[in-house]
Amino acid sequence: MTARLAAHALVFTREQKRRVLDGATLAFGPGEIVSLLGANGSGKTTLLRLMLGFLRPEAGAVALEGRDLRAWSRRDIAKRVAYVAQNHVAPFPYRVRDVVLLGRLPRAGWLTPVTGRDFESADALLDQLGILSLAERSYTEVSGGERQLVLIARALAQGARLLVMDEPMAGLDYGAQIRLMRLLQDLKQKGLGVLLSTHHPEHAFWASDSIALLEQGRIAANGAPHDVLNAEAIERLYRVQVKTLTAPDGRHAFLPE
Amino acid sequence: MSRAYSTDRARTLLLFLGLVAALVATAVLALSVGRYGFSVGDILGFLASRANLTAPDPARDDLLRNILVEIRLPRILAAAVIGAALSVAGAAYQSVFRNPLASPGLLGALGGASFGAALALILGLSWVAVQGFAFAGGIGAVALGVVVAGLFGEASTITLILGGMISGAFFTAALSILKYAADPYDQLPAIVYWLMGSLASISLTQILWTAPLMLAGMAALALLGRPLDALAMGEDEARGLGVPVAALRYGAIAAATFISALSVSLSGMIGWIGLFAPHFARLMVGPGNARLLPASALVGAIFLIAADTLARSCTRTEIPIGIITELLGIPAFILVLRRARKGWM
Repeated sequence: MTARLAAHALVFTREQKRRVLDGATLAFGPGEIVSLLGANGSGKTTLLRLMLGFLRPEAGAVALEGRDLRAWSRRDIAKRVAYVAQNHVAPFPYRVRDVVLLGRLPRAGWLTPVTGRDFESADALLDQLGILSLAERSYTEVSGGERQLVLIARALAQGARLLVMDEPMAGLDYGAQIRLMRLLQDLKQKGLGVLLSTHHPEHAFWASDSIALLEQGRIAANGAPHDVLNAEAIERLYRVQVKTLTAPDGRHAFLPE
Repeated sequence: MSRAYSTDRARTLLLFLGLVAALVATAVLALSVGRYGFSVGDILGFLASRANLTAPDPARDDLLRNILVEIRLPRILAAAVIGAALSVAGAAYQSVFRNPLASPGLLGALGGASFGAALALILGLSWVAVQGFAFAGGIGAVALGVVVAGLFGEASTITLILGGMISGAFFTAALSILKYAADPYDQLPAIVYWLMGSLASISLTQILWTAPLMLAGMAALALLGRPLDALAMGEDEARGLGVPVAALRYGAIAAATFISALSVSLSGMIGWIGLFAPHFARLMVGPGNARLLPASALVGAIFLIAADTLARSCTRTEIPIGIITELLGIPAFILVLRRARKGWM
């Protein structure tokens, strides 16, 4: 369990003196999927950005492989942890393959020229995700779901074993959401770890090994989906009344009252 | 070997060879055009004799040497280096600010340089001092913009653009004061002419002094091409790819500001090229900065040599080159944007 990324008791205040995080503790490692649920503005993105080292916590600490994140160079973090942004748009029409090739930056460095072998491995990753046909297309022209896949291919090109994804389902059609969750489970089988924030309790329930609920700046509950996610938790998080349906396979789904 | 890779390489190689050939052809044409016209054959014969391939033509060698080496060559070299530098700076700014409309003037470098030049002209200083003041003004304006951006809290693309706008507006206002205070019979016209740009008074020595600095700045930016791609994808994207965002951003801004301030200090104000040439280059080689920056340099050089040749040979008296770049740049920009638009919308 040494390859974990672990946040301990993080405190973070935004400029308007609003305390966003007040002692949040969360960890994940290879071979598991952890979903982070919380209302809009609850600090999910802030927590993820703190865990990636993009922000510095006021108190508390983040550790990667047991070592304080501040002791790591950004490049060494990038070899281990990859970040997939929410609804990412690029201002210039990079080709899909070129976006994936950016993933080699942390390992190859800034000056090593791109080789035919790099092309082959980028194409192999695109093939693995079923989007090889997009390799020459412009990243600005592919759909939101395809963009998520491109960014995942880039994350895999980084060689990182941990993926941090900020609302990867946002803006995807229903089919793309389901396919993305399946893909994450495949990646988990291959030993990768995923931490994602999401607004879909059912997806979280279905695909996660554990679910963390972010409320009032803290992780109010964290554990197996059955233990954490129930109608009361949803009502607390989102201030809506729901009722729980239990599928024959034991999974829960929630319906608004 | 991946086929996509071989195709990609062959295509890029061909495009760059084409650009270099176009640059050489434009330069030779520019050497031949002027008040005293030469044929391209004269030019090639002269160049061959200089390379000791043929014997010089004794009757015309002095004339050719005077006009080509003393008068036209410095301008062509200056146009090439300045066009390249402004275009590379523009391309780098566009990546740093993730904005296709960014240009070397975005952070106030051109406004500051104008103020510096006008101040030196009003103080009646030498031409070298005008250039020094323009350079210092350009750097100072960007530095002020960065400081102002710091007042808004956490530095980001937006705060930097705002800081640059404020700094640029300040120097534009200060320039107006200088124009108002200037002697309307000799100082004001000098300022106005400077603002319209000209390559007429650049000497070969100046070019030989400044070109290495500008080439070094351009090379530094080109070497940062790949991390600049990451930054163009977004700040968090770049961080996630292990790129030190603040260091890269300020490093690239410093290098781009340095070469644009140096360019403007030599030539006066030359607009549009830093905005338009990168778009043109992007259509040819794509947005990847490792290729885009060298391609922008070549496009900018070709364009400015052509513009300067027009400036000095279109009419009996020379037209300020800033006017030409604007007149040519606008339709060219419209044509380019029609195709480039789909890339960023």
